[in-house]
Amino acid sequence: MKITDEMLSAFLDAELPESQMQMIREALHQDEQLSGRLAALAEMDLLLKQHASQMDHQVVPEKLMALLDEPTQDNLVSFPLWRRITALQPWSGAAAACLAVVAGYSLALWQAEDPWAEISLALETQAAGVSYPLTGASRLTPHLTFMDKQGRYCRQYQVSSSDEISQQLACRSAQGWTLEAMVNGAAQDNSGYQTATGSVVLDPVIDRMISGQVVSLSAEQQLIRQQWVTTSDGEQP
Amino acid sequence: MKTELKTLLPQLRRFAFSLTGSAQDADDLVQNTIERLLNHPPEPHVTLLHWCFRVCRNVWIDEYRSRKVRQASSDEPELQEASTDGEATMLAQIQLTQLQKAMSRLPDEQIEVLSLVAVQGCSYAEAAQILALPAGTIMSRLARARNALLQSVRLSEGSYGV
Repeated sequence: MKITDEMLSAFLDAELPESQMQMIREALHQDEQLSGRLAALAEMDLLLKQHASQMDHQVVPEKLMALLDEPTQDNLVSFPLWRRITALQPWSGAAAACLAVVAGYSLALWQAEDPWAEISLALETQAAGVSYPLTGASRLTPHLTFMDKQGRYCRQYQVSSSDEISQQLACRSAQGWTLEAMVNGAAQDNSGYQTATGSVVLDPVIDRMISGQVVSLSAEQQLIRQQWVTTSDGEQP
Repeated sequence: MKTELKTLLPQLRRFAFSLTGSAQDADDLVQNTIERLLNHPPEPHVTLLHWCFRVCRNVWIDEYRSRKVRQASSDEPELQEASTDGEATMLAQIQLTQLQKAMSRLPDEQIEVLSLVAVQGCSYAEAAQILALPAGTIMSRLARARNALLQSVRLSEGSYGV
Protein backbone atom coordinates (compact mmCIF):
# COMPACT_ATOMS: atom_id res chain seq x y z
CA MET A 1 0.00 0.00 0.00
CA LYS A 2 1.31 3.42 -0.92
CA ILE A 3 1.69 5.71 2.07
CA THR A 4 0.17 9.05 1.16
CA ASP A 5 0.87 12.42 2.77
CA GLU A 6 -2.60 12.27 4.24
CA MET A 7 -1.87 8.94 5.91
CA LEU A 8 1.47 10.18 7.25
CA SER A 9 -0.19 13.29 8.65
CA ALA A 10 -2.86 11.16 10.32
CA PHE A 11 -0.14 8.78 11.59
CA LEU A 12 1.49 11.73 13.33
CA ASP A 13 -1.81 12.39 15.09
CA ALA A 14 -2.34 8.68 15.89
CA GLU A 15 -5.63 8.85 14.04
CA LEU A 16 -5.27 5.84 11.74
CA PRO A 17 -6.69 2.39 12.37
CA GLU A 18 -4.17 0.24 14.24
CA SER A 19 -3.46 -1.93 11.20
CA GLN A 20 -2.37 1.12 9.18
CA MET A 21 -0.45 2.54 12.14
CA GLN A 22 1.53 -0.71 12.32
CA MET A 23 2.12 -0.80 8.57
CA ILE A 24 3.56 2.71 8.63
CA ARG A 25 5.74 1.92 11.67
CA GLU A 26 7.28 -0.92 9.75
CA ALA A 27 7.76 1.20 6.65
CA LEU A 28 9.50 3.87 8.70
CA HIS A 29 12.17 1.34 9.69
CA GLN A 30 13.09 0.76 6.08
CA ASP A 31 12.37 4.04 4.33
CA GLU A 32 14.65 6.93 5.29
CA GLN A 33 12.84 9.38 3.09
CA LEU A 34 9.53 8.51 4.74
CA SER A 35 11.00 8.88 8.24
CA GLY A 36 12.55 12.20 7.19
CA ARG A 37 9.18 13.39 5.98
CA LEU A 38 7.52 12.36 9.25
CA ALA A 39 10.24 14.18 11.23
CA ALA A 40 9.61 17.30 9.15
CA LEU A 41 5.88 17.10 9.87
CA ALA A 42 6.59 16.70 13.57
CA GLU A 43 8.95 19.67 13.54
CA MET A 44 6.34 21.74 11.75
CA ASP A 45 3.82 20.93 14.48
CA LEU A 46 6.34 21.99 17.09
CA LEU A 47 6.88 25.23 15.21
CA LEU A 48 3.13 25.80 15.04
CA LYS A 49 2.90 25.41 18.81
CA GLN A 50 5.81 27.82 19.31
CA HIS A 51 4.14 30.26 16.97
CA ALA A 52 0.90 30.17 18.93
CA SER A 53 2.70 30.39 22.28
CA GLN A 54 4.02 33.83 21.31
CA MET A 55 0.63 34.98 22.46
CA ASP A 56 1.50 33.92 26.01
CA HIS A 57 4.07 36.71 26.18
CA GLN A 58 1.57 39.38 25.27
CA VAL A 59 0.00 41.21 28.19
CA VAL A 60 -3.70 40.46 28.47
CA PRO A 61 -5.55 43.72 27.77
CA GLU A 62 -7.28 45.26 30.78
CA LYS A 63 -10.62 45.40 29.02
CA LEU A 64 -10.40 41.65 28.44
CA MET A 65 -9.55 40.89 32.06
CA ALA A 66 -12.31 43.22 33.19
CA LEU A 67 -14.81 40.98 31.41
CA LEU A 68 -13.74 38.04 33.54
CA ASP A 69 -13.03 39.82 36.80
CA GLU A 70 -15.26 39.59 39.83
CA PRO A 71 -17.08 41.60 40.99
CA THR A 72 -18.79 42.60 37.82
CA GLN A 73 -19.39 46.22 37.02
CA ASP A 74 -23.00 45.66 38.04
CA ASN A 75 -22.30 45.68 41.74
CA LEU A 76 -19.33 48.03 41.80
CA VAL A 77 -20.77 51.48 42.31
CA SER A 78 -19.50 53.98 39.80
CA PHE A 79 -18.28 57.06 41.54
CA PRO A 80 -19.03 59.69 39.04
CA LEU A 81 -22.59 58.42 39.50
CA TRP A 82 -22.21 58.51 43.25
CA ARG A 83 -20.91 62.04 43.14
CA ARG A 84 -23.76 63.13 40.91
CA ILE A 85 -26.26 61.69 43.33
CA THR A 86 -24.68 63.11 46.45
CA ALA A 87 -24.17 66.47 44.82
CA LEU A 88 -27.87 66.70 44.09
CA GLN A 89 -29.36 65.45 47.31
CA PRO A 90 -26.92 64.02 49.85
CA TRP A 91 -28.20 60.90 51.54
CA SER A 92 -31.81 61.54 50.66
CA GLY A 93 -34.23 58.68 50.39
CA ALA A 94 -34.28 59.08 46.62
CA ALA A 95 -30.52 58.88 46.38
CA ALA A 96 -30.51 55.85 48.62
CA ALA A 97 -33.12 54.18 46.44
CA CYS A 98 -31.04 54.83 43.31
CA LEU A 99 -27.98 53.36 44.92
CA ALA A 100 -29.87 50.34 46.11
CA VAL A 101 -30.92 49.67 42.55
CA VAL A 102 -27.43 50.18 41.22
CA ALA A 103 -25.71 48.07 43.79
CA GLY A 104 -28.41 45.48 44.18
CA TYR A 105 -28.59 45.33 47.92
CA SER A 106 -30.57 46.80 50.78
CA LEU A 107 -29.49 49.81 52.75
CA ALA A 108 -29.89 48.40 56.19
CA LEU A 109 -26.33 49.43 56.95
CA TRP A 110 -27.34 53.04 56.69
CA GLN A 111 -29.71 53.49 59.59
CA ALA A 112 -28.31 56.75 60.87
CA GLU A 113 -29.84 59.95 59.55
CA ASP A 114 -26.48 61.16 58.34
CA PRO A 115 -24.25 58.11 58.17
CA TRP A 116 -21.52 59.98 56.34
CA ALA A 117 -20.88 62.25 59.33
CA GLU A 118 -20.25 59.17 61.45
CA ILE A 119 -18.08 57.58 58.80
CA SER A 120 -16.09 60.76 58.26
CA LEU A 121 -15.43 60.99 61.98
CA ALA A 122 -14.26 57.39 62.09
CA LEU A 123 -12.00 57.88 59.08
CA GLU A 124 -10.58 61.01 60.64
CA THR A 125 -9.76 59.41 63.98
CA GLN A 126 -9.48 55.63 63.77
CA ALA A 127 -6.28 53.73 63.04
CA ALA A 128 -6.24 50.76 60.67
CA GLY A 129 -7.52 47.57 62.24
CA VAL A 130 -9.48 49.35 64.97
CA SER A 131 -13.21 48.72 64.83
CA TYR A 132 -15.43 51.75 65.36
CA PRO A 133 -19.14 51.45 66.32
CA LEU A 134 -21.71 53.13 64.08
CA THR A 135 -25.40 53.70 64.66
CA GLY A 136 -27.60 50.64 64.19
CA ALA A 137 -25.14 47.96 65.34
CA SER A 138 -22.88 48.51 62.34
CA ARG A 139 -19.14 48.82 62.66
CA LEU A 140 -16.46 50.54 60.61
CA THR A 141 -12.95 49.14 60.40
CA PRO A 142 -10.26 51.01 58.44
CA HIS A 143 -7.95 48.69 56.49
CA LEU A 144 -5.35 50.79 54.75
CA THR A 145 -4.39 54.32 53.82
CA PHE A 146 -2.66 55.59 50.69
CA MET A 147 -2.13 58.78 48.73
CA ASP A 148 -3.83 59.03 45.37
CA LYS A 149 -2.51 60.64 42.20
CA GLN A 150 -4.25 63.91 43.08
CA GLY A 151 -2.30 64.08 46.33
CA ARG A 152 -5.29 63.21 48.53
CA TYR A 153 -5.13 60.73 51.39
CA CYS A 154 -7.53 57.87 50.80
CA ARG A 155 -8.66 55.11 53.14
CA GLN A 156 -10.08 51.72 52.32
CA TYR A 157 -12.37 50.45 55.07
CA GLN A 158 -15.17 48.04 55.85
CA VAL A 159 -18.63 48.78 57.19
CA SER A 160 -20.35 45.69 58.50
CA SER A 161 -23.52 44.61 60.22
CA SER A 162 -24.75 41.15 61.11
CA ASP A 163 -26.06 40.51 57.61
CA GLU A 164 -24.23 42.94 55.32
CA ILE A 165 -20.66 43.90 54.56
CA SER A 166 -19.61 46.91 52.56
CA GLN A 167 -16.06 47.52 51.37
CA GLN A 168 -15.57 51.21 50.77
CA LEU A 169 -12.94 53.71 49.74
CA ALA A 170 -12.99 57.40 50.65
CA CYS A 171 -10.56 60.24 50.02
CA ARG A 172 -9.93 63.40 51.97
CA SER A 173 -9.93 66.85 50.40
CA ALA A 174 -10.38 70.34 51.79
CA GLN A 175 -14.13 69.65 51.85
CA GLY A 176 -13.71 66.54 53.98
CA TRP A 177 -14.01 62.83 53.23
CA THR A 178 -15.70 61.81 49.98
CA LEU A 179 -16.77 58.29 49.07
CA GLU A 180 -14.89 57.05 46.00
CA ALA A 181 -15.82 53.40 45.65
CA MET A 182 -18.03 50.85 47.35
CA VAL A 183 -18.79 47.16 46.91
CA ASN A 184 -21.53 45.58 48.97
CA GLY A 185 -22.68 42.10 49.66
CA ALA A 186 -24.32 39.83 52.15
CA ALA A 187 -22.27 38.84 55.15
CA GLN A 188 -23.02 35.26 54.21
CA ASP A 189 -22.85 34.11 50.63
CA ASN A 190 -26.51 33.29 50.10
CA SER A 191 -27.65 36.46 48.40
CA GLY A 192 -26.75 35.77 44.83
CA TYR A 193 -24.53 38.85 44.86
CA GLN A 194 -20.80 39.06 45.14
CA THR A 195 -19.91 38.77 48.80
CA ALA A 196 -17.79 41.74 49.67
CA THR A 197 -16.06 40.10 52.57
CA GLY A 198 -12.50 40.87 51.58
CA SER A 199 -10.78 44.17 51.03
CA VAL A 200 -9.28 42.78 47.81
CA VAL A 201 -12.50 43.50 45.93
CA LEU A 202 -11.44 47.14 45.76
CA ASP A 203 -7.86 46.38 44.73
CA PRO A 204 -8.46 47.24 41.06
CA VAL A 205 -9.78 50.65 42.11
CA ILE A 206 -6.86 51.21 44.48
CA ASP A 207 -4.39 50.15 41.78
CA ARG A 208 -5.78 52.80 39.48
CA MET A 209 -5.71 55.52 42.11
CA ILE A 210 -2.63 54.95 44.22
CA SER A 211 0.49 57.02 43.94
CA GLY A 212 3.48 55.33 45.57
CA GLN A 213 3.08 52.91 48.44
CA VAL A 214 0.46 52.24 51.08
CA VAL A 215 1.02 54.45 54.14
CA SER A 216 2.64 52.56 57.03
CA LEU A 217 0.76 52.11 60.30
CA SER A 218 3.09 54.46 62.14
CA ALA A 219 2.78 57.13 59.43
CA GLU A 220 -0.98 56.68 59.48
CA GLN A 221 -1.09 57.25 63.25
CA GLN A 222 1.01 60.35 62.77
CA LEU A 223 -1.45 61.62 60.14
CA ILE A 224 -4.38 61.05 62.51
CA ARG A 225 -2.59 62.94 65.28
CA GLN A 226 -1.93 65.81 62.88
CA GLN A 227 -5.55 65.70 61.64
CA TRP A 228 -4.35 64.66 58.19
CA VAL A 229 -2.46 67.88 57.57
CA THR A 230 1.17 67.26 56.72
CA THR A 231 2.25 70.73 55.66
CA SER A 232 1.85 74.05 57.35
CA ASP A 233 -0.06 75.66 54.53
CA GLY A 234 -2.78 73.30 53.49
CA GLU A 235 -4.18 69.85 53.05
CA GLN A 236 -1.64 68.39 50.71
CA PRO A 237 1.83 67.35 51.76
CA MET B 1 -18.16 30.38 34.32
CA LYS B 2 -15.88 33.41 34.49
CA THR B 3 -13.41 31.52 36.65
CA GLU B 4 -13.34 28.63 34.19
CA LEU B 5 -12.92 31.01 31.29
CA LYS B 6 -9.99 32.63 33.04
CA THR B 7 -8.22 29.28 33.26
CA LEU B 8 -8.90 28.65 29.57
CA LEU B 9 -7.80 32.12 28.52
CA PRO B 10 -4.22 31.17 27.49
CA GLN B 11 -5.48 28.38 25.21
CA LEU B 12 -8.19 30.58 23.79
CA ARG B 13 -5.71 33.39 23.09
CA ARG B 14 -3.31 30.95 21.38
CA PHE B 15 -6.17 29.64 19.28
CA ALA B 16 -7.27 33.14 18.33
CA PHE B 17 -3.70 34.06 17.50
CA SER B 18 -3.36 31.01 15.26
CA LEU B 19 -6.50 32.08 13.42
CA THR B 20 -5.70 35.77 13.06
CA GLY B 21 -1.90 35.83 13.12
CA SER B 22 -2.05 39.11 14.99
CA ALA B 23 -1.82 39.63 18.75
CA GLN B 24 -4.09 42.64 18.69
CA ASP B 25 -6.69 40.99 16.49
CA ALA B 26 -6.42 37.84 18.60
CA ASP B 27 -7.28 39.72 21.78
CA ASP B 28 -10.12 41.54 20.05
CA LEU B 29 -11.39 38.19 18.85
CA VAL B 30 -11.10 36.69 22.34
CA GLN B 31 -12.90 39.69 23.81
CA ASN B 32 -15.82 39.27 21.40
CA THR B 33 -15.80 35.53 21.95
CA ILE B 34 -16.03 35.92 25.72
CA GLU B 35 -18.79 38.49 25.43
CA ARG B 36 -20.73 36.07 23.26
CA LEU B 37 -20.01 33.18 25.65
CA LEU B 38 -21.19 35.15 28.66
CA ASN B 39 -24.38 36.13 26.86
CA HIS B 40 -25.02 32.62 25.58
CA PRO B 41 -23.49 30.08 27.98
CA PRO B 42 -23.16 26.50 26.75
CA GLU B 43 -25.36 23.66 27.94
CA PRO B 44 -23.98 21.96 31.05
CA HIS B 45 -22.93 18.78 29.21
CA VAL B 46 -20.80 20.66 26.66
CA THR B 47 -17.03 20.78 27.12
CA LEU B 48 -16.37 24.45 27.74
CA LEU B 49 -13.03 24.59 25.92
CA HIS B 50 -14.49 23.04 22.78
CA TRP B 51 -17.43 25.39 23.00
CA CYS B 52 -15.00 28.30 23.32
CA PHE B 53 -13.16 27.15 20.19
CA ARG B 54 -16.40 26.82 18.30
CA VAL B 55 -17.65 30.28 19.31
CA CYS B 56 -14.24 31.81 18.66
CA ARG B 57 -14.08 30.26 15.20
CA ASN B 58 -17.62 31.47 14.44
CA VAL B 59 -16.82 35.00 15.58
CA TRP B 60 -13.68 34.90 13.47
CA ILE B 61 -15.65 33.89 10.40
CA ASP B 62 -18.45 36.37 11.07
CA GLU B 63 -16.44 39.41 12.01
CA TYR B 64 -12.76 39.04 11.25
CA ARG B 65 -12.06 36.88 8.29
CA SER B 66 -13.59 39.31 5.84
CA ARG B 67 -11.28 42.02 7.08
CA LYS B 68 -8.23 40.01 6.02
CA VAL B 69 -6.66 40.91 9.31
CA ARG B 70 -4.04 38.23 9.03
CA GLN B 71 -2.33 40.02 6.21
CA ALA B 72 -1.39 42.82 8.57
CA SER B 73 0.31 40.51 11.01
CA SER B 74 3.71 40.57 9.34
CA ASP B 75 3.91 44.23 10.27
CA GLU B 76 3.27 43.55 13.91
CA PRO B 77 6.28 44.89 15.79
CA GLU B 78 5.79 43.11 19.08
CA LEU B 79 6.05 39.72 17.46
CA GLN B 80 8.89 40.68 15.17
CA GLU B 81 11.52 41.56 17.71
CA ALA B 82 14.72 39.93 16.55
CA SER B 83 16.46 38.12 19.33
CA THR B 84 20.18 38.50 19.84
CA ASP B 85 20.55 35.34 21.90
CA GLY B 86 22.52 33.56 19.27
CA GLU B 87 22.22 31.87 15.94
CA ALA B 88 19.75 29.20 17.04
CA THR B 89 17.33 31.77 18.39
CA MET B 90 17.71 33.85 15.25
CA LEU B 91 16.93 30.81 13.14
CA ALA B 92 13.88 30.05 15.26
CA GLN B 93 12.71 33.62 14.83
CA ILE B 94 13.19 33.42 11.07
CA GLN B 95 11.23 30.17 11.01
CA LEU B 96 8.39 31.71 12.97
CA THR B 97 8.28 34.66 10.59
CA GLN B 98 8.27 32.30 7.60
CA LEU B 99 5.55 30.25 9.24
CA GLN B 100 3.46 33.33 9.88
CA LYS B 101 3.68 34.32 6.23
CA ALA B 102 2.95 30.78 5.08
CA MET B 103 -0.09 30.58 7.34
CA SER B 104 -1.40 33.87 6.03
CA ARG B 105 -1.49 32.30 2.57
CA LEU B 106 -3.40 29.20 3.67
CA PRO B 107 -7.13 28.94 3.05
CA ASP B 108 -9.11 29.73 6.19
CA GLU B 109 -10.58 26.25 6.41
CA GLN B 110 -7.08 24.79 6.63
CA ILE B 111 -5.97 27.28 9.27
CA GLU B 112 -8.82 26.42 11.60
CA VAL B 113 -8.10 22.69 11.33
CA LEU B 114 -4.38 23.25 11.94
CA SER B 115 -5.14 25.45 14.93
CA LEU B 116 -7.40 22.87 16.51
CA VAL B 117 -5.39 19.70 15.85
CA ALA B 118 -1.72 20.67 15.54
CA VAL B 119 -1.75 23.55 18.05
CA GLN B 120 -4.50 22.67 20.50
CA GLY B 121 -4.14 18.91 20.30
CA CYS B 122 -7.77 18.18 19.51
CA SER B 123 -8.56 14.75 18.11
CA TYR B 124 -10.04 14.56 14.61
CA ALA B 125 -13.39 13.68 16.16
CA GLU B 126 -13.26 16.72 18.45
CA ALA B 127 -12.23 19.02 15.60
CA ALA B 128 -14.99 17.54 13.43
CA GLN B 129 -17.52 18.25 16.17
CA ILE B 130 -16.31 21.83 16.70
CA LEU B 131 -16.25 22.62 12.99
CA ALA B 132 -19.31 20.54 12.12
CA LEU B 133 -17.39 18.62 9.47
CA PRO B 134 -16.81 14.92 8.73
CA ALA B 135 -13.61 13.52 10.28
CA GLY B 136 -12.37 12.62 6.79
CA THR B 137 -12.47 16.29 5.80
CA ILE B 138 -10.43 17.19 8.87
CA MET B 139 -7.83 14.60 7.87
CA SER B 140 -7.49 15.79 4.27
CA ARG B 141 -7.46 19.50 5.10
CA LEU B 142 -4.85 18.93 7.75
CA ALA B 143 -2.58 17.02 5.40
CA ARG B 144 -2.88 19.71 2.74
CA ALA B 145 -2.14 22.45 5.26
CA ARG B 146 0.92 20.67 6.62
CA ASN B 147 2.26 20.03 3.15
CA ALA B 148 1.78 23.65 2.16
CA LEU B 149 3.66 24.80 5.23
CA LEU B 150 6.51 22.37 4.56
CA GLN B 151 6.90 23.93 1.12
CA SER B 152 7.26 27.42 2.59
CA VAL B 153 9.20 27.10 5.82
CA ARG B 154 12.87 26.23 5.96
CA LEU B 155 13.25 23.72 8.75
CA SER B 156 16.43 22.58 10.51
CA GLU B 157 19.66 21.85 8.64
CA GLY B 158 19.08 19.02 6.19
CA SER B 159 15.35 19.66 6.11
CA TYR B 160 14.63 15.92 6.06
CA GLY B 161 14.80 15.85 2.27
CA VAL B 162 11.37 17.41 1.90
